[in-house]
Amino acid sequence: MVAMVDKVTDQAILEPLSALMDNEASELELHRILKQSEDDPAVKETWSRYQMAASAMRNEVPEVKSIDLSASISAAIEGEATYKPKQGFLHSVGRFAIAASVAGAVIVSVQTSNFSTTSPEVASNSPAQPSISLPAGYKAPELSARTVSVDPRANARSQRETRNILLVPYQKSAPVNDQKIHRQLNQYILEHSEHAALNSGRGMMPFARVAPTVAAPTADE
Amino acid sequence: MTLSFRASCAALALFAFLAPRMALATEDEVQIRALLKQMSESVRSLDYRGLFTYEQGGSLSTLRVVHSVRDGVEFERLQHLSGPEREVLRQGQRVDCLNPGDQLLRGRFEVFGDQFEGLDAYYHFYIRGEERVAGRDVINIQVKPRDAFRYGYSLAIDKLTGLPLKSLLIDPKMRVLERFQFVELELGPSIGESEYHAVTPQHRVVDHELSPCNLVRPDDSVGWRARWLPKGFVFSGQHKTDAGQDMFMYTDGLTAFSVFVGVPHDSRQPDIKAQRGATIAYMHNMVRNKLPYQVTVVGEVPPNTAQRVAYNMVPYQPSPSTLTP
Repeated sequence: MVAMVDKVTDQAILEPLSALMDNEASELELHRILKQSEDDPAVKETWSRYQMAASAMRNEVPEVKSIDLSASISAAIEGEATYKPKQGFLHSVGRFAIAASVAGAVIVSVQTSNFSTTSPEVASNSPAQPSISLPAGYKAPELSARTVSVDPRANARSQRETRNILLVPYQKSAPVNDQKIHRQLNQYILEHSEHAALNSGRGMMPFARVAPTVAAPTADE
Repeated sequence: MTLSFRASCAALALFAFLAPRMALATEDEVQIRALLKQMSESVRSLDYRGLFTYEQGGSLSTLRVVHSVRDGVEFERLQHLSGPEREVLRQGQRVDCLNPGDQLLRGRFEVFGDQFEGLDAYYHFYIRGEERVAGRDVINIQVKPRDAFRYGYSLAIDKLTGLPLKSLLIDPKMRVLERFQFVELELGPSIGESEYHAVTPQHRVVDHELSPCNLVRPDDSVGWRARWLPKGFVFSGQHKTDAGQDMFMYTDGLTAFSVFVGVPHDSRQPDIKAQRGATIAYMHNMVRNKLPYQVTVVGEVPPNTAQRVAYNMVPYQPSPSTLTP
């Protein structure tokens, strides 16, 4: 078990971090946390430990270690409309909205397997478009799962085609090697499409499902 | 008047509920069976060129498809018109080669043994009227699963040709997980020689020999076996991937999933569930006969189905003596 001593001692980041965990961080604070967690692995680790603690309190996969949510949250924020700071009452609404939509980024992906709306529209499952804002832990994930990251290549955000694979580790143990697993999963989806195109009666349609990054043969495989 | 109308509605509903269990097929069922059969045939035997859209998770892609048959052999090309340039070519499968999925859609259930009851046992089919897709008249078929192990569909089938012009994948809460829809369809076009070749350098030529042709009895997987499958799914072939994994395939005629078995990079890696649109991947590490394996189920099935299949894959050798390591 990880010793419960914070490697990060800088209160200037710890406080906003706990605020974030309580859904009370301001947008500025959130950006600072994201920035610092990119620069400083210790901040990242502390954040991920806080996430674990929060999960444990909600009885979700308490032993998951080294979960990195920063990437998915960054992606979620990138996808959001520009936030205009407001004062007074509206300001606090803004604070809530930010926190909620960040929580949404984490949970919406799980939502897709949880299926909650009844309207027959195309379901949005991209964390980059947190159209459904839920407070953290509001909807229990179906298989007691948490989304940990999105496709690391989500940097190509200008290309809005959804190519994210949402990763959800289920049990305890080691960190997930995103890059490798993403590549492997994309490869599997491609091979599966070839199968589906032969055995689901709709011709080549299943090939449309293949993510852009894998349809072309890649050099390293 | 109203009362008797209601009563007859109720009777009708009751009948609809009981009907699938009865040997007597209703008029709709006969028509639906014919439509599914026609869909499976025409998508492979006709010459067509068309544009369709694929919508998933709030993103929309546009694609062009060309399909033709020359001397009884299929030629297909799929080109992405949006996003990065991509192209898929498939060529060489004989039209008279029926894969297990085709056999199921065409009602050749006897191939899969006595216990296989036919698609009606796993899905409710309803005719939901007519509409227009890609400027053509279509018949809408609503396909509702009878259990929680598969998703439902809404299919729009061209009245004249039987081609599927729209296909929606629908979850139990009636949310659409993905949508394929033609916007333009050209039948029997003259397809120039140039269209038989890829236009982008980064194209992929796919294997058409993944599934066995014209099975006459149920096939068995070799090496690994699914101890549990959702009812109605049959083994539809296996294959060694380029990366060296064993791939096992299953279909119920409308839905397909694939199981990949390989060596884990890291045996301590937790189970992973990944989702892209309607496609789910469930990755599970296991130890069998003291060896570590990674089993990944990929398909358009609910997460629970993928998970349960993953947990129920077992090494399987016809001769029991080979089981001990």
